[in-house]
Amino acid sequence: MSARCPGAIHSAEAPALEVRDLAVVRNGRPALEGVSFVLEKGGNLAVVGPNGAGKTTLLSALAGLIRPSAGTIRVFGQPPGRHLCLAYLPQRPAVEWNFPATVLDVVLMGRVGQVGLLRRLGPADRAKAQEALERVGLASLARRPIRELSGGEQQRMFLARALAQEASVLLLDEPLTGLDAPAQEGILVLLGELTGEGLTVVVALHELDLVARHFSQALLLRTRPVALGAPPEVFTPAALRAAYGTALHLLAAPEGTLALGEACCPKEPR
Amino acid sequence: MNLVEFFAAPLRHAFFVRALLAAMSAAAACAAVGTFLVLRGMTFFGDALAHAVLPGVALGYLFHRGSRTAVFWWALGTAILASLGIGWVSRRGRLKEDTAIGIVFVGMFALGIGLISTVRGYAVDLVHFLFGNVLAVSPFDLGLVAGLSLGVILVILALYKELALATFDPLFARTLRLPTEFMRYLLLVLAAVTVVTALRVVGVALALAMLVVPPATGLLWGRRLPAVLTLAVGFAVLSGFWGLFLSYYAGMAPGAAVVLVATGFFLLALLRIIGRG
Repeated sequence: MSARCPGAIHSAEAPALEVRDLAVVRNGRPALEGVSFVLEKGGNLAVVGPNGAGKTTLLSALAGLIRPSAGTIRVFGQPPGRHLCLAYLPQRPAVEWNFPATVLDVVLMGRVGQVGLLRRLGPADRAKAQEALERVGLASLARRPIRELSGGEQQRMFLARALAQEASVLLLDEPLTGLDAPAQEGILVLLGELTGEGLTVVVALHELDLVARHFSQALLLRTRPVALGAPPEVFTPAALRAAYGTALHLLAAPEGTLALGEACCPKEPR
Repeated sequence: MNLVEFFAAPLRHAFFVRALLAAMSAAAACAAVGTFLVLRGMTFFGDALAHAVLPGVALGYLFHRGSRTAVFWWALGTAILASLGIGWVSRRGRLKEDTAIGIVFVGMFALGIGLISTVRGYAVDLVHFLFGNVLAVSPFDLGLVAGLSLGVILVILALYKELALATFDPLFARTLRLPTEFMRYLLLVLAAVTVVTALRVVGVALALAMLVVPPATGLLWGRRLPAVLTLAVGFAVLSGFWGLFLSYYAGMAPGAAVVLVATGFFLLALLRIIGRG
């Protein structure tokens, strides 16, 4: 989206994201092994798989928040820890919703990294934040206290903050959780528009049907990559069974194969 | 008595003017730091800190009998050590944060009381440490309290946007490569400094009030952080001012009077909210 990306110099020919043989060990156990993929600028990738498959681990590693135990990650040819242009939105942002701030205040926080220490946010930053709010369709809510937002509006606000940050790579961890169908659809349409404008997007998702409709690439994960490619090639009965195991029931229906996932409660005895 | 005389009478005493200025500046710094502690859910930490300072106060008191300024430096050193210690314990320990803080808190407090009690006739001095004695502030002490308070407020103003961001969304702050751990410890050190200034005014037992009550009032009243901070500092300064006058005319302990006025403002803000429905 923006050529300017403080903290790192982009190599012009390098892909937006390049991951090679990535492995992460957490609490002495492998959380992620042998993950490799390349995502060009403007590309989109959905990461799917059962709970505990390593989706969040993968996104945290891409964001530079956790250190890989093996393999490499390159963001526009550079290691991820140096990038301000990488925006990560965790599954449930650990923010205090009673914090005394308006929507615009939160979006302005996206400018803090760009402005730097001991400098104040100026009119240019306000303009950037306002522009980002308009882009996500929240301009009319700029002065609203954040505690009054709906789930979908919260997600849009965080997307606006990422845009104000001038991020060129968005990493979203289950951004649709808790949203109703129209709000989910709205977020996915917005993400589609943003990738059209050159943003690179990686999203961890549970909703396989939405992945099939809205994403051009999917990575099916169960600690190791099970399948990678266009959703129709990835979502085969064999691959889904390999990823979800007994938590998946495949049903032959007249319309085609129905996959019933039980993504929740993996520890529950059955 | 006319209104002019109401204000002028106490102000004729130099000790009262010093007390007034000390109370107002310490209260302002406490409110500014306290706002961030309240927003981070760290108010218990402020209370623990105030109590954990007591052994330092006691050692200063034992080593430099009579010198209140020496006690002040001992208190400051202990407060900074205790805040970093509690910060570290609560980060690494297997215990839950509030449990770890509780243990440090009571252990240090008992050590402080134990040390002071070894001195014959300790009771009067102990009361001063527990409840403050702002009316005995020397010109030099006033300079210290005012200087440290001003320093704390300047640091908060300089790092305002980073502190606000790290308080609201620490993970996002980390992805922006902000030094979030450094800022956490910085806030703890600022809290330590303000607690020590508050000790002179309201004492160990009521220091928590200065960290919590004006920020809580600001949060009830303001909708955005800059307004909340301004209101918190404003109510704190007013509490220091009216508290000292209340103390003068009612013959009340000044620390208690300051806290009572601050609590009054809080109740007012609460009634305003309830009145609006």
